[in-house]
Amino acid sequence: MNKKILLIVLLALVFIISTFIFLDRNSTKDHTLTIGCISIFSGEIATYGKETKQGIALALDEINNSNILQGKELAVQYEDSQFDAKMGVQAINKLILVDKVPIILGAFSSRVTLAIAPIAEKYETVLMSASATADSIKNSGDYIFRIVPPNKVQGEVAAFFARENLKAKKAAVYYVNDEYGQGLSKEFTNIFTMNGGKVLFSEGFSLGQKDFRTTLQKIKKLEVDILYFPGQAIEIGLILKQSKEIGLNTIFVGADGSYSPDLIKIASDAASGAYFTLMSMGFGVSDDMIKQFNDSFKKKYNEEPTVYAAYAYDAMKIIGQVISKNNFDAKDIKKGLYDLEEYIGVTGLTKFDQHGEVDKNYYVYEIKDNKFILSNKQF
Amino acid sequence: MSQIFVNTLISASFFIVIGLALSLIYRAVKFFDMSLAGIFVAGPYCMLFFYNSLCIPLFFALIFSCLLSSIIYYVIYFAIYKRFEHNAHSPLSLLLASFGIYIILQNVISIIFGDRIMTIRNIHIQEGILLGGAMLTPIQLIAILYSIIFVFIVLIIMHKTKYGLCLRTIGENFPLAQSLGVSVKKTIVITYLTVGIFVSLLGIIYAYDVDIVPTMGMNIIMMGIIVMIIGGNGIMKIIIAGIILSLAINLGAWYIGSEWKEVIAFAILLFYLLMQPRASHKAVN
Repeated sequence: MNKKILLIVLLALVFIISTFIFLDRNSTKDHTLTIGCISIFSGEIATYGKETKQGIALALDEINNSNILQGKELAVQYEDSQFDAKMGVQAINKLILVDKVPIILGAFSSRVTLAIAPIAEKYETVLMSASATADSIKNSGDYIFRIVPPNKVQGEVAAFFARENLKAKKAAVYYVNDEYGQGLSKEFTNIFTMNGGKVLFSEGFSLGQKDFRTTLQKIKKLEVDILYFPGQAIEIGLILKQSKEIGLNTIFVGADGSYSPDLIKIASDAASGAYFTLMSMGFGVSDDMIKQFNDSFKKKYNEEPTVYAAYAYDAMKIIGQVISKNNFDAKDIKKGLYDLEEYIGVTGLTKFDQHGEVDKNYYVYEIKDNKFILSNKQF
Repeated sequence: MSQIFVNTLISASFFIVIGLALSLIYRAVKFFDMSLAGIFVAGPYCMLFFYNSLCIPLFFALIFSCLLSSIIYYVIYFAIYKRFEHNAHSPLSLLLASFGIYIILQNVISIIFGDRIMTIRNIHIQEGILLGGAMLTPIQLIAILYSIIFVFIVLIIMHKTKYGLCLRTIGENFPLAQSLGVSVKKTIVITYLTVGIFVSLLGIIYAYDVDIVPTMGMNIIMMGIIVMIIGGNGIMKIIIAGIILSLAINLGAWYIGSEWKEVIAFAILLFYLLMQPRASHKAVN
């Protein structure tokens, strides 16, 4: 009897699922071009996903209203990586094998991008990140693009800023112990020491770590001029808070991974005066576009856009432009991206080299009045 | 070195309270209740609701938060673990069930409050108090005092009250306790409610120090389990195990690196189990 009931339930489930798939397929209009997007939509740092989505949605509105796709509509299938490589792999497999998208915008983080890049390469699907900065992404394959410069540039900017602007001689480096943090700390250390500075302390911390006091005490004893601490917002916020609590008075220089309201929420006034390197906007190149973007963003979301929203916006606009001039096919889109003339967007000039990399810079931001403000101590 | 000593005291205070709480629960129901990690997290989130959202005065918000968390913990026992007992399930089944409950609690909190880091403190971050060359924040001082008070309360309850005698008897020999007429049900209910209150309050103190995310409970419960396994059933042994574990972790962070903390903790557990085969046998059973 029980087996019969189980069989009926199973058959009913199969019927329901098949009906949904059938209806879903039929409801997909022929004129809709769907691309994929992998970002962080849940978990402790889901704000990044929200910002990415805001930028993409704004760009989508503009693309679909402009009719550059000649009556066709561009749509995005979002998948959540949860900042986890395994989830990222599941997401890309679904986008490629089930949704059959020719191009995926993402992933947000370097760790997930590095995990999914071989899959994109294997299935010849274009992967374009608007925020992954690890150096090794450069060699991930022909189908891998990004519109942000690598950590090599970011580490250099931080080191030059510390030496030239802050006149720091002794530094401590405390980094998140993953591809992102290791790459940045290595580059910072190289350039800082090459320019006459000394790195007296270098150590990693784990993602999710909550107590940094013992290590911060060690750094305090060294009396360094600056602490370079690339990492994610939660850990960096706690480091700033605990530094103040133990009386570690030094200059803090961080990286783009910490650029989030969460950092200010955790560290509040302890974050004041900390510097962070952040991807450049197109100041001096596309000022009018930036103003227009800011206005549209504020109108749509009633809040200020972040740099990540701007980069996601630009990435989406680039994808829209390339799709409008090429077949909706991964190989053609890839060719279109390599052939792209200098694209002027809110993040400046984008032109891909033979590795799918761009030549852009990083700016330095300072936290003032609980906000990230473009620093006047520009490198 | 004075700072290492103070840091040791701070983390030891959390490890000891969790270790003792787990030990009390273990005496009553004979399994490692992982859902306690969920109660550790539920406390601060209740506080977030009562204090930050409803703006109830701090004292009452604390009481409501601890009571609600404690009731949730008892409901978990009554609705789930008790049924397992009736069906004579093994401690392993209960351990797995408790882990499942923890996951459910964590996800429910995530759905209600979101995964992002939350803060319940609305005080400015200030430089700590200088005590004998070491820095200590007021909330860390509270954590240390709280653990001392908790230890005294546990000592008094276990050795001076009828309930303590019942719990010790159940812990030593469950069938004998039943045959002697010890009120097992009542003892378990009191244990769950009391542990729920103290662990949720510890969670609130922890949240005042390092803020809250729904996933923050598991790590501290793992440390509590290590302390409990090393310390066994003795209250003083658990205190010593908590201090040793905390000292090893802080010395490791000072001399090797902070990312080695968990490695050191579990290395100590493995070392202990290898050196004390009977302890591993006890732990498994």
